[in-house]
Amino acid sequence: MVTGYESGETAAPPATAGADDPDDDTLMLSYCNGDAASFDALYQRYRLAIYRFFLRQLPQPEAEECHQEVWLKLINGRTGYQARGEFRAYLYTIAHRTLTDQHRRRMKHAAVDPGADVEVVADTAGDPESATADERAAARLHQCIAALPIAQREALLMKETGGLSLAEIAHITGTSQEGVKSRLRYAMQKLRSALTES
Amino acid sequence: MSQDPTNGDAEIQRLLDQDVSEPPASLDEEIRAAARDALADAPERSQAAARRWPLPALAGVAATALMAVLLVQLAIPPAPQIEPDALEQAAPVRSPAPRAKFMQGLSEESLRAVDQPMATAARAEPVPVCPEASVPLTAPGLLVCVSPEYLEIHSARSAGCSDVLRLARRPGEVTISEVAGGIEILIDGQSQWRVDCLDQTWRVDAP
Repeated sequence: MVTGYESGETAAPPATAGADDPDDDTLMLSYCNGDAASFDALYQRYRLAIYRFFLRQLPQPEAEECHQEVWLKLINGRTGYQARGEFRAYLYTIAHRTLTDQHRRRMKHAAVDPGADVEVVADTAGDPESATADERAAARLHQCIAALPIAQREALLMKETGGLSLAEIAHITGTSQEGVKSRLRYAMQKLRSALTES
Repeated sequence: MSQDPTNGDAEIQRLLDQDVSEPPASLDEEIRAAARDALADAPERSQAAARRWPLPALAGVAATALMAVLLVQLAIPPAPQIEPDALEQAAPVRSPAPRAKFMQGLSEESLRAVDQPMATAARAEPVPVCPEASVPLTAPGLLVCVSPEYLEIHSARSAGCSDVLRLARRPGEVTISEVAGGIEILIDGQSQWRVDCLDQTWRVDAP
């Protein structure tokens, strides 16, 4: 299952990479050895997934900042990369930690300024007058995702926009697979409920 | 319950697929440029590291040498500690000048006795000091200072005789030996005096 990717941009890699395309590890190692084009290929594979992972959880400026931070961390930490066929999990581990740090910063600011808005509200409303029914439903869905508890939201987005397996999500977030399944089940129930009501 | 709780919800998948948000082109370009710059910087860094190698190498050698010196110092046992006042007392004894003057008049045994430290008594009680132009000989509880014309005998214990016993001597090799009730002083092997301190009073017997 691959979701959240535009046609023409391979999404849940490396499964969706073409048969002749080098896998993620090959590209990463090639980049580490000085081939900038390999990084471009990797970036093209994951740019939307990582960006949307943040955009559904943070206001857009913060999402952009975190998106950039993830890639810079990958670039700066390239010499320590070990090819084990887990590039996607490696990348999402960086994303998870970046997101955790960002939530901490937000909480800190909220502690300093109790009036600050800590809850994330994704910018998906658009213009309700001109939007089609599908667009309105999608906007409603994204609002619901933004309203989910952080752990449920992150697990859902890793699954839906990143195509990560339950085992990968459990490993990245430091929980059990049962815990991840539980989070996903609650998240999906809330989304279904919200869509039915609308 | 299915294995994956998110499977089978087609409507949610379809709506998520409609997401067209993507990072700004400028952000994409910044990230790609950072990736290229990182590769460009890497050779420069390694060249700079190569230029700097003598410095850490020298620092390593210096640190190794320092560690070696410290280890050697730790391996050698420290010299026995001598009380400062004992050192002061012993200093004239070890001075070669007075010994040279009277070397002919003293036996080897006596000279070895001179070299023995008097630190044991010095720690507990003040130790009498021989005049500079004399050579000290030690005996149990007594100090005999040998000069060319006389012998000065000091009690080495504070509870002993407080005054100094001075005996005129004839030339010759002076030795002392411990006997019952004091010491015997010999010159050229001939007994001259038996000396003891009893009840804080010197007692001198001439054979």
